Amino acid sequence: MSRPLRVSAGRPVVVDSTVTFKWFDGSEIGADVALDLLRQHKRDEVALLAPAHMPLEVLSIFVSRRMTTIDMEHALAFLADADLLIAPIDDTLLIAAIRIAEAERLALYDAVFIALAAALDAELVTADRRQATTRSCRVRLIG
Amino acid sequence: MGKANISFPEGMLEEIDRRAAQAGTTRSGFIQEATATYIARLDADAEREERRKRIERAMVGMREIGKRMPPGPDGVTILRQMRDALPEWLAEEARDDDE
Repeated sequence: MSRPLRVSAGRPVVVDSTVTFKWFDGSEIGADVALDLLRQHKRDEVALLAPAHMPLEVLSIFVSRRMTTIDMEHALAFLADADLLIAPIDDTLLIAAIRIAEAERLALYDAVFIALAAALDAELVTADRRQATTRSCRVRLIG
Repeated sequence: MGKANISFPEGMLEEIDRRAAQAGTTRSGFIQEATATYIARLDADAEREERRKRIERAMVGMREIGKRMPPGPDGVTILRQMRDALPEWLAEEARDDDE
């Protein structure tokens, strides 16, 4: 995730951690759709974005599923190689997220993804039904 | 500065001279600029291709890791619990309020 910034002609799409996790677990419902999104990103048809805490959330799922440390290290490297645009969690994003979380009674973690999508007028792709109820940005629910 | 004796197909040299004059540069300057632009495009193409291959390898690697994952709740269930979890002190307050 520390590659130099590159310009993508692709349509911006924010991916929730529930979607990026499906890139690993092919047995999950909607995994094929999630993988197709990554293929579109590879072809520069879309530009996938996520806030900076996304890898932390994916690793937290791995911890819950009792994955080994070495596998988690590799998972981080593969996430970096996927070349997502990682947005820093700055004050502007957090303030927008706090407002969305309060107005829509959502967890702040959900709201950060929504706030990023709203700021960029991007679509949010998520597998989480609760997060997908947001009215603050365009949403595609998979799985 | 190196020099080169280059052959061009019929009409191209005239085209180069015409374009160079339009751009306010010399024949050599025009060819240097065109070459630099072409090299930059080749580099960009190579970088794009390398990125595509890197993402392709990442996709394969992710799936390999996934195959080694012990069975358990799906990602949405785990993440939902984490995101909704209250800090212990706040959970205690909520319990007190309920009572």
